[in-house]
Amino acid sequence: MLLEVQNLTTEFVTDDGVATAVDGVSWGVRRGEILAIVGESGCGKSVTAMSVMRLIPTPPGRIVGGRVLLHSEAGVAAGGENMAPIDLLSIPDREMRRVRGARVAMIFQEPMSALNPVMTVGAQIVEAIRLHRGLNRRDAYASAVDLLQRVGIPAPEKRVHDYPHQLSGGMRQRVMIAMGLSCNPELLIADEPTTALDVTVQAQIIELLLELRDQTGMGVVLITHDLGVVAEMADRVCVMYAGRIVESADTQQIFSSPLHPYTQGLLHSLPRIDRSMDRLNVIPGQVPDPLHFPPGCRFHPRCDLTRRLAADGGGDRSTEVLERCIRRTETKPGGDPPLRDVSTDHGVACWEAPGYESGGATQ
Amino acid sequence: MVDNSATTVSCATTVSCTTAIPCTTTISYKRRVWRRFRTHRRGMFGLAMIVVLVGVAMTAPLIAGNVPILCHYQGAWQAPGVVDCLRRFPILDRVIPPSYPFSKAGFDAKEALSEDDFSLWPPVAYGPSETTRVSLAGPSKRHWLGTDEVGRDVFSRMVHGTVVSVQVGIVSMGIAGVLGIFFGAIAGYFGRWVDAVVSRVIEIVICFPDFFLILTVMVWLEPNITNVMVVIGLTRWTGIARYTRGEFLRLKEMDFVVAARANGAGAARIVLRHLLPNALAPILVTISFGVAQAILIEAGLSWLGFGVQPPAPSWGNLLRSAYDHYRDAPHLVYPPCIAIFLAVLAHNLVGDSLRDAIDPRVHATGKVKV
Repeated sequence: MLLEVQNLTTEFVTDDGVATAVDGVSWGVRRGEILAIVGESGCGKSVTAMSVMRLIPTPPGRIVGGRVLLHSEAGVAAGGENMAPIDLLSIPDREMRRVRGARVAMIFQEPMSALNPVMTVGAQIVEAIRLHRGLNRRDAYASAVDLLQRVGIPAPEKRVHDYPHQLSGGMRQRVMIAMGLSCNPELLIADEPTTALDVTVQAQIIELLLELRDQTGMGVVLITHDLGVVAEMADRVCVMYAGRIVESADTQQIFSSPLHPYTQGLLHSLPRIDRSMDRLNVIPGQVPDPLHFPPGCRFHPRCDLTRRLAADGGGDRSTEVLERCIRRTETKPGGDPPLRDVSTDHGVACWEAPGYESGGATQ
Repeated sequence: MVDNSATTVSCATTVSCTTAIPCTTTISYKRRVWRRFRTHRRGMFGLAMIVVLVGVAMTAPLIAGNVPILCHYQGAWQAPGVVDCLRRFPILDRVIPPSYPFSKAGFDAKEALSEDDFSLWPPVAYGPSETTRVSLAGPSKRHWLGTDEVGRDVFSRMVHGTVVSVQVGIVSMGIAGVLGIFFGAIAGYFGRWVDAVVSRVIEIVICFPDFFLILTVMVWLEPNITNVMVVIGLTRWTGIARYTRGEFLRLKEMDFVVAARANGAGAARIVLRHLLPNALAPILVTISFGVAQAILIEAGLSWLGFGVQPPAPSWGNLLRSAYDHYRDAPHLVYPPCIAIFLAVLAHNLVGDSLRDAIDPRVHATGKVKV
């Protein structure tokens, strides 16, 4: 493991109460692996990423629990995990600043607003380099030109003097990636790196990220809502819904045998090139307000399964299922199904998933 | 990969060309603002006036003074005017020795230099405190704007009074700018209790009617130009602080600040390298309006006798003495009035145009594009 997130819980204090944006989320990413975190807007994927980097604005946000363990390379080199990992959530700010950018880097969704409009792109990359690598200005500049070359920007020695507004969206995203890579991080967190770009440029950026992963062997956490990007890039997938992980498996399995009704719904709603349809399938309803999660399973108001069973109206089984999913009898909310392994490396959080009852807790 | 990127570059070029900015050269934010500013005729007029004002202030002894700019005196070449001019600046006054004997009190250069000696005099050859026998005279070839009640040349006093106004503008807004940017920046960036404390302090300072506050303070302090500048600086920083705070509140939520933090930048770096340069243009607008205010306040104080003390000239006390004698010599009222008006106007015009130049929604015509 390179980075392990355990039971991460992040809350936002609002005037109407405490919203739990991320609720006991656990995942891990290995060196050279691309982990995708997918979900609808507002499901907590970005908050998860920001929590790992400790960039949650406090207040109103606060990380209330969990650990984010960054394992060091030396431990791996020695053949075992004998070198103690550091918990990014408990180290002092000063040390955290040395981790950010140097060991864990992040790139953002909007390449326009994530670059400082009054600095040349070169100056921004130089700043990132000098923060961690202690190079003098000239070497840092040379290094910036190198990086721009590596991310596929033509005439980098000229572009290095450009301001962000002089570059196209795809170019800016490349600059962002160059900044992220400037200190050879072990882990790159990419928060929707292709969302703001048009499709052809998206493909280029995906290709670039894959290439860089192969070259450097860094781990990548890819935050996205685009299942196409996931299929293209990811080795493993975590599906998030309303602040929790509902299913996690490798990419193959997610696409071939999704177990959670939400994952199934997501895949079902994709337009298909091999089939003609009049209307796209949708998951009815919307993501619940984090201030008022429904009792029982958070997905149940939108769940196909629950609705079908309720509509049937008959049979002992349906009552039993409904009770478990909805928990009408309990006054206090909660009672989400925990994430359990139903087969090797395939975790799901649904009472009705095959093998769920007998499944063990995921590590 | 390489092919792909080649296409992107041609893309990038067309995109930036649509904004009518040639993409061959690098255009910084500063240059873009300057380009837009240049299209504002009023702003450029204001800027030109400020340049003239500062130029006059810097070269006052060469425009009006009672020592020659250059002369041949007792077999040696001397430039007492130039020396005087330079010695008014800090540091230079320690490096350059005064030109003897012209600097001696009571030394009359006009008497001392004979007809045969070469001498180049300033256009108006009277010092600001030099008295002549003609008092309250009208404009003449000798005294362009006439003389005051004790026979001093009014043009010379106006020119040397410019120094006061320019100094007040620069120094008091320098103090106010440093204070305002500092407090505004920490309030905006750190928020929470820092913001609460700074904002309350600002509100308290704003509550005082500042002219009267300054007046009260000047009663306790010795009324001289240094105190005037310091007091104006200490009371006029609140507007700048509020503006800076607002800009910082807006900017600190921007992605590039989060990105900088994600790269490991600390608070100082984010404030100085990322936030301040982005906030500087709007802050400059408030500062340029502030300079106009400061000039006006100084003139008001001097007029009331709490500012620059006679015989040292300032537009305010010139106006005061002209006002006392306006029945006998009404022409003396106009020069200081017009000078104050133009100086204030110039700074307001510049501030106004600068505000338009940094606002991308406003066209050069001043109309807001919707």
